[in-house]
Amino acid sequence: MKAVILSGGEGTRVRPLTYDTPKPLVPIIERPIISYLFDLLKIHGFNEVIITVSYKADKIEEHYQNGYAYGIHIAYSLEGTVENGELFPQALGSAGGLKKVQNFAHFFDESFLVICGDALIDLDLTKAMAFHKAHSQLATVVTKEIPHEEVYRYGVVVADKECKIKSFQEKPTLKEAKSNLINTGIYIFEPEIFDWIPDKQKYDIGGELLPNLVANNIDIYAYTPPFQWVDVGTTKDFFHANMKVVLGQLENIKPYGKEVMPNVWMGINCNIDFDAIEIVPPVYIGNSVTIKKGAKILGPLIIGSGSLIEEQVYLKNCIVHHYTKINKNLTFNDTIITSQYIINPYHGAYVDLKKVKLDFLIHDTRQGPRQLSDFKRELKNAIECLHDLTEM
Amino acid sequence: MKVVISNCEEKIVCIKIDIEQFDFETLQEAKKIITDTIDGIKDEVVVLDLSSLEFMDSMGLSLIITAYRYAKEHHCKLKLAALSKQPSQLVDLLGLNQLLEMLECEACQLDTKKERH
Repeated sequence: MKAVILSGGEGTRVRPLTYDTPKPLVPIIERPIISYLFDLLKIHGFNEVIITVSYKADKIEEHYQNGYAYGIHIAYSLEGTVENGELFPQALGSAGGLKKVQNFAHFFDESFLVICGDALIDLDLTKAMAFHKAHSQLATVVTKEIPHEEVYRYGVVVADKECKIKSFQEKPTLKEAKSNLINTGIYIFEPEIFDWIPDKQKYDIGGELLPNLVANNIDIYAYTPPFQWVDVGTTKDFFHANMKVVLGQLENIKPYGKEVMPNVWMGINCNIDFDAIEIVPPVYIGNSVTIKKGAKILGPLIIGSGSLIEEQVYLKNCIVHHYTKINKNLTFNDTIITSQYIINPYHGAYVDLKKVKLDFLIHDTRQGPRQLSDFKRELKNAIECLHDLTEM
Repeated sequence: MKVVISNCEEKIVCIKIDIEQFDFETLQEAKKIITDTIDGIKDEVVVLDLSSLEFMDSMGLSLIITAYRYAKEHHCKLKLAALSKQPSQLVDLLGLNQLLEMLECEACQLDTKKERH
């Protein structure tokens, strides 16, 4: 079967993580979000997949190539143009992007799935296809029931008892909202859907195509199964998605590695003396991680592969990206730490350590030891001693 | 760089350093002013007002840590007043807000004892 993954967005609300990485490659426990989607698609027999790409398209294509490593066929549809090696994105909207794919070689010749590349889901796609074939002539929208107080963040779907969609509301106020079913951005369409999408112009599925179908009395249906849907639209979502996995709150996604003690997963080739550190589960530790004596690793916590946690570092409820060295005696709570940024996941504030010339405190382990000026060495020593001073 | 040192009230010394960004020279000057001021007091609250600091890097951080250490050694308590957005984020994200009390309003609103340029 055929599917398309919409992955062209810049992921501005997930910055700074998306400055160098396209959102579909942002890691959930060291694995790109979109890889989890490939797993799901493959299980349910979707073996021909088109990814619509734009921002950092080359990185996605280099990572997944033709899909051989994943046992599925992957092709790409670029939304933009490349001139002299530089990409100029051209936003087509979700529906416009589909139309571009179809105009290229009429790829969609049977019922097909459309899914966004920035959510973790465990939807039974086989059942979803069965629902679509039993009900819909043209389109099915996968919806999710959420608490009423959260509907203002989403596109709301109003459906009758037979699941026929009557109307849509885009991010309504709590007072205006007529339903607590939301559009998850997962659709099943028939190829005839392209009769309703204009050529070569920006056109959106949720905001334009579907409301237009309803306005023209075309029957489209809402499918609302029980399933987990973790949207990764912001740094806060990214943080929570990772934490949900390490806390075991996502049934089908488990941390990769050996469970060395209850709820502590560890990769291979790690240099950790568990008697010399304090560790409180749940914790995920990647491959080739070094944690030095006296460190406090308090879960839920994720430490990416190749990282080095120096002596007396205190980490609680944090994500440490791969290849990140954290200087001794530093303390972090509720923080995303990469080799270049320290990020508050809740409101997205961040510090670029290079910009503030503090990259001697946290940096990429692959860069090796640093030559520090007298000033930086003095400041480093002063910061390392702060901990002792607070206990005076 | 303009520096104003004042006694806001009894046992509270305010040091307002008016500068947008420190360089090595102004950092050394500011450190000396702070340590000289703290040298003359004991068991007091020192309010460091950097409200005009627009961008803080390792230089600004060095000043705050020097002030904190020196205040601690002299049994004084350091508070930071009215940091703007970027310096405040840096202090928060490095966890220094757990060591230092952050005041939202500007300090040194009371009588000025002496002024240095």
